[in-house]
Amino acid sequence: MQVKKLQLNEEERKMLRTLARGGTMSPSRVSAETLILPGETLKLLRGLADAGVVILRDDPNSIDGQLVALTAQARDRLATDL
Amino acid sequence: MAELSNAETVPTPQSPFTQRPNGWILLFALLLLVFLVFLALPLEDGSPAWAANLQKALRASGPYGIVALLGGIVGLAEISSTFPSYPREALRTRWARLLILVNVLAAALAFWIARVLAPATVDSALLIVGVGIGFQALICTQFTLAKQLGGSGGDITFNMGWLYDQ
Repeated sequence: MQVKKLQLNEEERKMLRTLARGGTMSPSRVSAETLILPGETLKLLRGLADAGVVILRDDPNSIDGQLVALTAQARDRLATDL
Repeated sequence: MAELSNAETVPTPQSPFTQRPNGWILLFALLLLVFLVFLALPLEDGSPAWAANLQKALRASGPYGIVALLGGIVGLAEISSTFPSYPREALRTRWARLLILVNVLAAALAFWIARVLAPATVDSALLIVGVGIGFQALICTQFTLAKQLGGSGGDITFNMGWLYDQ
């Protein structure tokens, strides 16, 4: 999947910087570390997943039942864009 | 198919009972205990004047300290309840600390205003608890100064709780 052209708002940039720094984590941890409300965080993550920037997958060991991580292509792309 | 980059195992949030106590918290608790003992014990006639004056000043500022502490606890509880799965991570952010500080200062200010305006017969303890916990109703209020009649613009509002939106 190709990463679409990135036009990110400040909250999305904050979330991606957090993921780049912390690696794979649960959505609620992203929410806590960026201080973005949980509902808004999930909505933004789903949008980013549709854009091919992150991957959201189910994980029974996660506190939310889901994990999120940057894609390899996005990490390379974001190194210059962020 | 997109590849995950260096996927790591998710650390399990630690139970409070398996964590070692923080040295700073213990030191703070000890200092607080010493402080409370100093406030409570009556100074004897032979005590230095500075000690008696200090105790008097601290006793006068005690209610403000309690209200400020209540305000801080309310701010802390608000953040912890908004991010229940990872409260420590949320509290470590700059905005969270700023929000707690604003809560502390606003509570102390609200108490000062309440003391000036309240009748002399008002129970002090009730005033302390009421302001310490109830001032949040004011800090989260949005005042509408002007309302838009038709058109595409928005209302003119003054929102004291903007910090909570950060």
